[in-house]
Amino acid sequence: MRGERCALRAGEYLVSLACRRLPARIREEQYQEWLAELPVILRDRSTGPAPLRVVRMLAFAADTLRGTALASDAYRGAHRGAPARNTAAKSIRWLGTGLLLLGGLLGGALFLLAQEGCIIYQLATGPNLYFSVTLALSNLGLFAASYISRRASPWLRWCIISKIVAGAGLSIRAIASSSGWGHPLLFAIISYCGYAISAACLGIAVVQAIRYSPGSSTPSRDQGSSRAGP
Amino acid sequence: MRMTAPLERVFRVFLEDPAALRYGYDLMKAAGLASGTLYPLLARLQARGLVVSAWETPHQDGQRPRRYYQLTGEGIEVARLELAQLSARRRRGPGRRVRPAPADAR
Repeated sequence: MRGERCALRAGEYLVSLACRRLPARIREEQYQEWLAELPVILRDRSTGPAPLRVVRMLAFAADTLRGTALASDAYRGAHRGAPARNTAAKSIRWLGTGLLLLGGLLGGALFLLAQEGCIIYQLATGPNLYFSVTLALSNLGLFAASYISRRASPWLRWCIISKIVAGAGLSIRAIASSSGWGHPLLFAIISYCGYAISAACLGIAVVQAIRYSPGSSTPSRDQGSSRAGP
Repeated sequence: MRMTAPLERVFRVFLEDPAALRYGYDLMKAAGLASGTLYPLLARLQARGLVVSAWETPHQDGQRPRRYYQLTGEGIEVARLELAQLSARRRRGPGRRVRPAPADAR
């Protein structure tokens, strides 16, 4: 497969990063285990075409990072049979992780707000081709990420898809209005519809997140997720 | 050990054929779990003596040897008992605490 070695190297790098968080006595063993799985995932034709296998291999490697970061206790107790102790260092690490997550959430929320503001401005005043293309591509990336993580609400995915449609509509509208080709109004309507659907889906996703969040009196997220989805 | 949905899936996969040797990636596929969930779980099971692991013999073609996992005798007993208790709890009432494993993970 073309680019196999390059993909493997990227995977090996991620695995090596993950292994740095492990206790020294199991680090090498764990590194060898994960390293041996990478080519197997890459050559597992049952999981789909080559690009998908590369993504799966990289997702495997990246997720080992998550595992060693969030469940390092499991590895500390492994091969020893002793439970991990609570230490000040552990508390500080958790605090750091919490702050990082909070920062990420705030940053993400600001990014989404800015994006929404820009879309509304573009819809009202006329599209900017570069912005519209960036919008469509960034949402394509978001959609791929939500598909890989498998945790995003179906409404959120529909929201992203409709934003891709809105971005594509805005882009074509910009090209059509500058080249005089087609009817810009048609593409404007497509982008308005895409954005309206996106706003509706985002609203539903937020309502569901609040309604089915842990601690609320309504049914749990697990029970609710089976009913969710367009 | 607290019975969680990932643990339930892993136990079910192991119990399909308790004598079979399972590689990490095969377990991931069969249980539908991500590597960041499965490997810490396997490490915990190993620490409790419910699972043992070993390395396969090195290949002639230069392929890296893989590590495989297997339930121990105690692991088989514990897994069967935990799954039976879980099924009984689910039969008893709607107050379930664990999400059932998907059909393809069984």
